[in-house]
Amino acid sequence: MITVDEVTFTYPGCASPALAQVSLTIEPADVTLLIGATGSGKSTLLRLLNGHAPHLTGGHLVGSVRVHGRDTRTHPPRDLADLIGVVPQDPRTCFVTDRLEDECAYAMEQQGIPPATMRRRVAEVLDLLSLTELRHRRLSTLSGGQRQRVAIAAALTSGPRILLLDEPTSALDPGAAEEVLAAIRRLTDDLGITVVIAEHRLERVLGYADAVIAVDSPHRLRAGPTAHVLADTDLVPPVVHLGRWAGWQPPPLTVREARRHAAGLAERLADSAPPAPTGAAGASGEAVTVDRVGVRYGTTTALRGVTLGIRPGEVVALMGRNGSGKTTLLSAVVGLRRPDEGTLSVAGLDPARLRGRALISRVGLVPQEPADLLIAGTVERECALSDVDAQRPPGHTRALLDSLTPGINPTSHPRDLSEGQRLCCALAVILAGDPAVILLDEPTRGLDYRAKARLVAILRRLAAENRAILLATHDVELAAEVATRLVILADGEVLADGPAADVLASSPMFAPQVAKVLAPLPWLTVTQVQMALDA
Amino acid sequence: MHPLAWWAWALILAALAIRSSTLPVLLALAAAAAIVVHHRAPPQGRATFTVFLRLGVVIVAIRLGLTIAFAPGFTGQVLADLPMLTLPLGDAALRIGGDLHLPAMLSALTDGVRIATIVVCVGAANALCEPTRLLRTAPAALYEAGVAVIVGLTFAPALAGDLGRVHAAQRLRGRPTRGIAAFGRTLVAALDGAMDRAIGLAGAMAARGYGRRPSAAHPAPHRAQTAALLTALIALALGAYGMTDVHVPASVSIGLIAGGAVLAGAVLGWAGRAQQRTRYRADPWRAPEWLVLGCALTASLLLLPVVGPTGDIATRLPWPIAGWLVLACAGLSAALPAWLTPAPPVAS
Repeated sequence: MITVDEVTFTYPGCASPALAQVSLTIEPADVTLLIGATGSGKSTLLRLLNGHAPHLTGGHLVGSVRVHGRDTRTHPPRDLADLIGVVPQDPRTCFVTDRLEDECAYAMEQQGIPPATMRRRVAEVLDLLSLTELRHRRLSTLSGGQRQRVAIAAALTSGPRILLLDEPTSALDPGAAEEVLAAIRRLTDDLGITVVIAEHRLERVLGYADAVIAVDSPHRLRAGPTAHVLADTDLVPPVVHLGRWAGWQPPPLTVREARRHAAGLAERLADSAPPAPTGAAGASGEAVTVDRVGVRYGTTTALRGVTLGIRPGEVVALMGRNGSGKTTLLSAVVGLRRPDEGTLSVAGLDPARLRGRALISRVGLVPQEPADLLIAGTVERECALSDVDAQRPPGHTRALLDSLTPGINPTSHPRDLSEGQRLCCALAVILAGDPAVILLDEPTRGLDYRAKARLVAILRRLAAENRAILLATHDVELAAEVATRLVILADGEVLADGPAADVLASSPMFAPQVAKVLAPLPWLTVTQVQMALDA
Repeated sequence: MHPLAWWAWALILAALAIRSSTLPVLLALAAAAAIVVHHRAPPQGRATFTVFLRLGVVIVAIRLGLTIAFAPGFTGQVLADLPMLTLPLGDAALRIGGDLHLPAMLSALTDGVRIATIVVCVGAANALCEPTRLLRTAPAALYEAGVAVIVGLTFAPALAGDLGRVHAAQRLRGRPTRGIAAFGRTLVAALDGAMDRAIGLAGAMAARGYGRRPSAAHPAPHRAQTAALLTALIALALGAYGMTDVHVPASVSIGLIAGGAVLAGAVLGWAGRAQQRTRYRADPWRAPEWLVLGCALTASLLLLPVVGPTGDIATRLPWPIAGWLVLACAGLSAALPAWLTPAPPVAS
């Protein structure tokens, strides 16, 4: 049970509060979903709940936050650790030890739980999160999804009453995300743990939520039953959009609810077919040619016999489970990793041999963590450096950035930008080189629905400029919106390769929400349906 | 392997390096450390170790460069006659360049190699067991201090990882990745990342209950405990200083260290009972750990009588050949853990 009473919180050095005069109550044994646009104060609220703010961030707190009767003012995070487990957005930052088992035991060690109990609990939790086979692994060898599950396991073992999760599924493939959410549901049902999830991508998680807290702005916070709170926001998944547009009452929140209403819509759509994907029109030759490429790391094979050609104007979505080799393929195409077997060429050249201007005018990669690409202390300087590297007139990158997302304060540090702004910064830096091939690794992580819609528009524009785009993503909705072609990797091999519409609609794991609602009709997105029926 | 065994082994080698002033001894110690890392460190540990090796080479180069630039007043065989520049500095004069004497260069080389050997020894310990594992062995009463040290040490491997990522980013942006300017940029960006990581780690540890206040049933440490612990630490520090100062007899230093260790052990055991922390699968201290410690101690017993400020190992013993024999035995003893300890698990 958490009560937040008339809380105003201001970060040090900030003029305006991150949250102002908000109050709420989180009931025990509920799954509460925390939603809101980036920058609305969602993360701050999450930090306030376990005392991370203000104890570790500094800042000024007015009002009180109470967790099971303990005031965070007098109880810093370490004294709340037996009540609250925290899973941060990037689990790598929270790992204290180097082995999976030790990591899971760490919080229990701090509480002085006897070794025998520790062993039992670790075994149980690893089982619950399907991590038993990995228990002796080093954390640095795990894939992103495995790391996320380890972080949840590590927070769970000490038996907290409340679990705070910051975007727990954003780095996971659809299958792994489903497993994690099912495990979370089991925690609330069987153990009575109160779960608070901050999340942008609501497609899957909405079905598991009992209540929603929407942070509309630092001054406005609405809490209540899911359907009630969601009625007033545009940050909703495709199925809710579809329901609203079709006027279904009550508006569906999950695919299952939507299907009950879908019969009529399906009938009206039966005679028309979704528009053929645009792009790749009249383009000849291949911008990227991957021929029987194999990559090994030590004894593990990351890629084997991958053959793939991408033509200019094509948007290829690369999907597959965590650890299936997507990131490795991207680093090979951009020349960071030389293939052990096979050949790879970008515009007829070996990318691993390209340097400087020759590289950035042909291929650019926006890494999974866009901040990795940003090296300067301010956005302004970042753009200036990029102009020099790309041999462009001063102001070129800044203009590109403004065309992607206007209004970024040029003097702010890249770290202080929102996820979407950071992504745009990295993309602007890459675009300054005017590459014919653009690679994006997991671009929608941390983006809310508005930012994602902007990204979709940007990607379509880039494809229309006849650039070849290859994006590795777990986000099936993004793939449904922009991809002309879909490649599924499994264990380093190409499992499927074909037009996005066909592969997406036919796969149970990768089907977008609209396709699930209207199955077996081949419609993928709300926009497609709207355009067909409004015409 | 118990992490403390590797750290004790490495620190003993480092202490020997500090006390010795002959190149063969220093090179033998560094080689022993490298051999053990080669055979017993996990792959990522070996990768971190190469960073330390490079750092060692840079240290030697800087030390030699300084001697060439500001040749101190040595006499003896002249190696090269460099052009000399004299800068008036108030009453004194700063001389740059000039005659380069062999003894000056030799002394600089030994100095540089000594520091490099110490760095390599610490690097070896770092490679053989990740610093985070040390965290689990710190005595309960010293937990807080231990964590501060470990967070500092975690910096190295994290920095190596960050350097790789920033290097890749520089290449993706088409920036030159070689040269001093590029290295400077990479280093600044990587340090920035490592700092963020350290702050993140502190937050994560707090969120998991690190540093919880003892409950009413387990009172805070007694004042007598704190005083005794301080005394023990001062004895240990004096002893450690004695090890590094060749003018202090080795027996005094060893006595201080041993006394300090016993006292510290007793106090920590006493204070540790009041802690509510427990250990999940504590690393056992068994035969291989004793062997590692024994190897390092054997090496130091062999070397301590023959190394010293006056240098040449051969002059300390009646026959030159005996000096080389002792050195060979000591080097071998220091490197033996490479074969005497169990291999690191392959699964990871």
